[in-house]
Amino acid sequence: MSRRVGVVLVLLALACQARRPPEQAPSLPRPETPPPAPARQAPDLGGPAGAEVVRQDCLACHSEDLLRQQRLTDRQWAKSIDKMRGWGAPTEPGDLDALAAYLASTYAHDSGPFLPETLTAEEAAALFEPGPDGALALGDRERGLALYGDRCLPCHEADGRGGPQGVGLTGQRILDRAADFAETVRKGRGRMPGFPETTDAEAGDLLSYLRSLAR
Amino acid sequence: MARGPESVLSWVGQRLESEALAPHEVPAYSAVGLMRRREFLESAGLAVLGGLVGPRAWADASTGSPPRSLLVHSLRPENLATPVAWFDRLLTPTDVFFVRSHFGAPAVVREGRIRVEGLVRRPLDLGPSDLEALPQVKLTAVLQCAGNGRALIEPRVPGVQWLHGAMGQATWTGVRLRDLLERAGVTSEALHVGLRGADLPPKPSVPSFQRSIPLQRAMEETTLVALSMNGTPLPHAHGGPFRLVVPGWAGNHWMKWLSSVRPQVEEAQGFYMQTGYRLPKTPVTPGAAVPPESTLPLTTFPVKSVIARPAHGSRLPRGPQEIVGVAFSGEAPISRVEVSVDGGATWREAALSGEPGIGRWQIFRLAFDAPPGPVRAAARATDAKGSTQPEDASWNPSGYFWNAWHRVEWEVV
Repeated sequence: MSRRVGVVLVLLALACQARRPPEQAPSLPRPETPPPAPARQAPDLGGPAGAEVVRQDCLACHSEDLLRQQRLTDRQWAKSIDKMRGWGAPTEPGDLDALAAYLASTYAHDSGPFLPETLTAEEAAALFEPGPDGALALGDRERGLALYGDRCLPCHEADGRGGPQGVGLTGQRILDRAADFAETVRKGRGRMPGFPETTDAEAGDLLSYLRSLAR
Repeated sequence: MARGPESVLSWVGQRLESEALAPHEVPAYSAVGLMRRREFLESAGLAVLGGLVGPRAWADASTGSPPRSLLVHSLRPENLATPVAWFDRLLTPTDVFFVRSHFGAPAVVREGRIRVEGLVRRPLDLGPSDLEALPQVKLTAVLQCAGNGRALIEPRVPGVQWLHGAMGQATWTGVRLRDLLERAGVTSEALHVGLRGADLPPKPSVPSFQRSIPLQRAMEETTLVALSMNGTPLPHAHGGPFRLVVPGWAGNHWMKWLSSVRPQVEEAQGFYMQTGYRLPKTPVTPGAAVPPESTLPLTTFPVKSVIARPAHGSRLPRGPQEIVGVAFSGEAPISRVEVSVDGGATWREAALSGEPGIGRWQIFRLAFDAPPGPVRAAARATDAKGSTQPEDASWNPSGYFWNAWHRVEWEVV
């Protein structure tokens, strides 16, 4: 997909990404909201292209609210980008200017106060509780291994801990959230392509295999 | 010149304390919008400020419990703050206790294990029943993130932008780390104890959260491997089944999802020990870059007090007023808390309740009568070593240990 998409599309994508299927609703009752409107006029360079880089390269590892609460100068944002690239953010050199301009204008040092969303105590507790396996229960580890080798291993690596192209899965909480897991496999996330043809049984096999990996 | 709203607000500080009132309780705030609130309030003036917020939030706080909610700093990883109104009591309920995680909680394990390995004569691999069979110790201690108050530091620094809510006090029950180390037979070469948790970074290129504490601190009576919090099994959100408890020391030492304890010669390596969670050895100019060799790992948190109520920006009826909050220090018990209701010009000693202790908070209260008009309150605590909360916090590159006077303002009508 071209990175030069309209701002509306990007915001829609962020909103859609944050939405969860109904059975997951209790765990994430307040979907992550799209970034606030720029506090000062974003240069053309930093607009939609920068937002798309954020979606693909930053949100694979952390949610957008982690960015939204920052109030940093251009120089601090540039340093933060360097740090994150050092930690494996896959942003290509050609996208760095757009990313820096987007972050520095959207979450500027002189933006107003950050107002956190609230969760009720019950909603917060639900964040940490495993969800039901549902149709993904009773997967077959061996079939999962074969599927993993075919579709997932190139990016998530043999030990499931991730690599330059993919995030780690071993021991990660998504393995406690079967519905979320199946949705991510089918729809993809960030740079990850979706595998829409994956059946519940296959997703269950994958889950069974991933849960068996040594942490 | 009459004191206008601008001077009042600038005295309070450039940022309003959004933790004082959760956004959903203050419809006018959300109507103002995410970015323009400060400008709106400044232009609208104090009368409007008083009218925007107040009676309802005050009623919540004065008639019992504040709303049972947490403030979301990030969902992935989970970083959730306790609303400041909860800091009016000795124990912070577990379900509104702040949550800090670097990589997010790991997948739940069926049965947690702790390995005691490294410079020991008898390596151990312990499960819950092994730990439950050892002598259990119960203590009350403050858990505070080193970055609590980062959002109040100028010039601003990156990191989770906590206001006051990355702290809480709980009872912790578990086994002494010393008992585990002695059973394993620590050898005489060991000087540090390496700590690892079960949470893994999102990819291998991200440094893992590995840390160490000096062996001397590990052997202290109060250093625990906790199995329970406020009397119930330690929840997954708080590092269950096992986490380290290091009273008086900042939360980065309180390893969650503890899986490995390793006596070793050297301090732990890696970003979170050699770059993060360090303070300049000597005070630095705000905004300065500080090379790692000029820093030391941070340990005990400095003396601090936080006002739970009245809520900042509230509007209260004339007559008796009461200021309530908590005071603590990681270095010594609290010896006194002083409160000012005139912006710091004069101070009165507040009444303390609760048991004093290192890294343990007490409640302070001050009652007074106020005529109509703005009240500009501030609190400053002093510990038994003589350290007093400063008017302005010292700046450091990562915004650790903010402990300036907590200033709260409300309008008496």
